[in-house]
Amino acid sequence: MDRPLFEIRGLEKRFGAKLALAGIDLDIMEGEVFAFLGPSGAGKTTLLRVLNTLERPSSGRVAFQGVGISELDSRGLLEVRRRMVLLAQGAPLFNTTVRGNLAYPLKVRGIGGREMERRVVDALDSVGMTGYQDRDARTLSGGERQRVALAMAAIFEPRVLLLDEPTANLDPINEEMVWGIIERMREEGVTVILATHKLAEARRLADRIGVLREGRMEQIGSAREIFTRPKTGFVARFTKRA
Amino acid sequence: MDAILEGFYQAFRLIVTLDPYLISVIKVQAVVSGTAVLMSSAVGLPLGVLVALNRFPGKGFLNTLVSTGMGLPPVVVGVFVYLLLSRSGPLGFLHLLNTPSAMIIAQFILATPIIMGITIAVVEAVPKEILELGYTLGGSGRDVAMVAVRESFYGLVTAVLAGFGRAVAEVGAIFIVGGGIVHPVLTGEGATVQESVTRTLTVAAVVETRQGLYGNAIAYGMILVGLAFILNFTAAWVKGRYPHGQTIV
Repeated sequence: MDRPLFEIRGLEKRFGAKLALAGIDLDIMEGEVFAFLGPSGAGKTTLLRVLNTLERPSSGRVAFQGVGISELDSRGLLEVRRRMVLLAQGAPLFNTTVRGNLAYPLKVRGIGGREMERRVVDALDSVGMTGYQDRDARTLSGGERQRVALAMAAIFEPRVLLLDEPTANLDPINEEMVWGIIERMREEGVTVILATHKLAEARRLADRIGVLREGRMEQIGSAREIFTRPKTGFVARFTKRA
Repeated sequence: MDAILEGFYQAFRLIVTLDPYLISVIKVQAVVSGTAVLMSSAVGLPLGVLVALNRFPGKGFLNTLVSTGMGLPPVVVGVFVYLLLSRSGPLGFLHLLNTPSAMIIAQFILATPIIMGITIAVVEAVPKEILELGYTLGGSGRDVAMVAVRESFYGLVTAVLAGFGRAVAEVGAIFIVGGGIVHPVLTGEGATVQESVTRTLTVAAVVETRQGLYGNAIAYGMILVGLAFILNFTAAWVKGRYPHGQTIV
């Protein structure tokens, strides 16, 4: 954890007249778990999307491993995107079998045949869904979808895992399972950046937390600092719910 | 009433005995509409996917043009192609008027906007988060386009079938540019029978009803209804066979 994986300086993102992100300055270190914490509409998802290159910054600079994302052409962006994965809220899956979903990230990287099948089996084993290959993805429960999504993310061994509300609408048992999977990926050296409004989730998983409010970063610190030494009234009020 | 019953009897006889003239009409129909729809699909499907997945200036206008094209009156297309291909027209030197090629051009113009328009609609209906999942899992623009195709597979099949339905059912355009020509040919037994050159099922139905050949006209009608059934059956079969949409991964 000694060099920034992401360097964010003066980041702004506008959607028309609406300022979704304003003056974000942040370094995210390799191997850490960083949580964007805040209420709905705070800009957490937008920030994840900018990091994943799905959104271009309106101004400011975002660098991944020292390379400015805005300076990259489409090929460069694809290279950057192939080192990370963003799992959106609700774990959308392709309209196919579980195998079909897990195969996609491998196929776009030119991995097929027996190697693909081996990885599919291993990935499903790792999320406790052995034997689910031929299930229709549409028939899975919310918890199962989230676990398949995590398997789909892990299957190509990404450097960065971006998670948008990974346990939204999950029951405590599935929530615990998903947290366990995220912790295991972190132990394997994956940098995890998650957006959440759940205080318990941020507290349990994150090395550091950035509290967002209306597109501005209110405070950045360790979970302990955020919950015990809030720097603003908003952070104090928001974390008091814990 | 007797004429109608006689017509049905004649129709069954023509179909069951595989009447050579009827077969020649079906062949012309199959070649003209089949070729036109193949060409329309080759243009309309990729263009539709491209338009649906990209934002560019003038997209709204292009969508309006395509929608207008979906409702083009066949007669208008017929007149337009006729003027293009007539001896004094800009493409008159090709000598295509009153040939199956002219009919293919007319049906291509009619079917392409339908295939493209439905393609745009079904691909745009693919949820944005699914397309973004394709990107975020490392897919290139081409990979994501394939995701869109797989997710909307049934809709795309419907687009092609709708284009084929349009081509098979229209009569105005191909009558004008094809002329509904038949010519006599000698059979092995020394008899003379008619053979279609540019006469399709729909054109033949119009011409031969006027000539009082109700049996022929009813036979064409039955075949066209049968074709419509086969098209719908195919669409339903595809939906049942590929419930996931994705067929490649």
